[in-house]
Amino acid sequence: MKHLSDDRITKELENLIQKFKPSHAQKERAHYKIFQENSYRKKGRNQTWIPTIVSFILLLSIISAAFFLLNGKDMQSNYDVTSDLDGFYVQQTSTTSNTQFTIYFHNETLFIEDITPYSTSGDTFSEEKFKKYITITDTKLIPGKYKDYSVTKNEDAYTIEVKGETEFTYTLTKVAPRKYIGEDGIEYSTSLYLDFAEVITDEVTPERLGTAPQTEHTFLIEWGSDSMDRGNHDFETHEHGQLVVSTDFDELQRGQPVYYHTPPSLITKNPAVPEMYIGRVIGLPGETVEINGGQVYIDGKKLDTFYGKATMHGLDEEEYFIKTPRSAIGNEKSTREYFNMNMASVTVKENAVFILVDQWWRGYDSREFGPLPIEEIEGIITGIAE
Amino acid sequence: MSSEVWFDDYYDAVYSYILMLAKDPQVAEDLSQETFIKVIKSEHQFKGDSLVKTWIFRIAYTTTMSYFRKKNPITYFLDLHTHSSKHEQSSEDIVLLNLQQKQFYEALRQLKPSYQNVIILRKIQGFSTKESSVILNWSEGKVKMSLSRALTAFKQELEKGGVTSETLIR
Repeated sequence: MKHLSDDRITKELENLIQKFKPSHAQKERAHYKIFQENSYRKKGRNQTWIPTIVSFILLLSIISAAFFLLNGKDMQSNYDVTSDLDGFYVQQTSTTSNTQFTIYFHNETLFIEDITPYSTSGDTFSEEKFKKYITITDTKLIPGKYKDYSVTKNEDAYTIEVKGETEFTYTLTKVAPRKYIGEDGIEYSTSLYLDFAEVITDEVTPERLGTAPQTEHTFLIEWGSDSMDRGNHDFETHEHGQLVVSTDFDELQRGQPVYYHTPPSLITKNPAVPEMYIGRVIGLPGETVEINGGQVYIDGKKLDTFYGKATMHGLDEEEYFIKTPRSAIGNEKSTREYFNMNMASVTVKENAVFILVDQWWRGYDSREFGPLPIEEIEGIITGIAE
Repeated sequence: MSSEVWFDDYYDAVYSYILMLAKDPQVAEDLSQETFIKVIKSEHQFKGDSLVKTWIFRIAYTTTMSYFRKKNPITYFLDLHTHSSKHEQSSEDIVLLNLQQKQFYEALRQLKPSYQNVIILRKIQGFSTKESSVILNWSEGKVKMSLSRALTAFKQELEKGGVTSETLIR
């Protein structure tokens, strides 16, 4: 077999081109398309930015829709805070409006008062006369006493909704911890901080000591001091009997009454203090305890429990001054000082707890000797012997 | 308008070149038109440093290659022949050829695209080595080397198909 020569192949290949030439009709068609449709094509090209923009807008709307869907829950978090507001009091501070509102929530009643001069100065200075001189800012707030109301909170906005005969809604927006602005621009201030999340509560610890069974891990003690008194001679053996102390405990809980060795430093200072003492666990390891105005704060959060504030026979400042006869109050100034006592913040170390007695002015506790090491605790007081 | 003159002069060559590569008259027509639209658009960019035909073929080459690249990126980058493609038309559907031409064309189709290109340009379209190097954007050395290798491979393919000097019709 002879191999093909290059010349022969080249020649054949050259012939091949003839077969691949376009037909006359094809060429005509191509000519038409190129030279006639060219201008049309150019026009089309110039508009390529339209789909780009349309798709971009579409993309933006999809993104924003997704964003709102994802965040929708947070944005509509109107929750009812009616009960939390009990005792909340705000007073108008701005002078741009000629009203002088106070808004006060107390005992499930909403009080809205306007103490503008015309409302107090009687006939000689009527509202109409007053209005001649000064224009009153339009406000939706209607003074009165309302029982049927609700308050919803949406982030920093508190919406008061009053139902019944006089119906209106009013929104207060919190702009600073103690400053609020109403929807009509009136500014209010309060002496109270409204931070519902920043509260520590205790649903477990009972206010009155119940009876407790005795086991092999318990022993009985006698207690004669009124340092734990909450108006019922609580913990006192001569009234209720001996106390049951259990040595069987794993972890200390806040509010737990404990029986412990009095630190020697305290005994040196006051030899009359018994060697064993009773107190209640307030601060747990790692926490910071502070007393401000007679109120205990744990890590800056209010300790909203019966043992979290200064009391006298179980009564707080307000109740005490209502219930106690004038003659029985020795020195009102020093008593007020007791109810508003302060203590600089103390950080509780590991393996220690912060102890307080229930009646602060009648006993010694961590205010005196600082956090108590846990190994000094002999046992927990579970109750009164049956 | 020079572009219309160029169209009359070179459309046939461009079309046949693309048809041989693309193996589909419809695709070849589209690509040829695309080539000439590009030619018209970038007419002012033609600097005259090469022949007009070479410049147009350079555009035809890049247009065809970018079509292959989009259509089948893997085979394009591996420089593989694509005869296994299901949608490829047989030579009868493309052009009417006599037996010998058919054997030649079928053999050519078996080669990898770069060999097909160099044979078509150098031997069929009749470009010089230098012109081919401009069209393919290769060095002249590479054109020469590829051509000789392509021809060797082509001969082998022809012989596989039973074409010998004895069977060749003069």
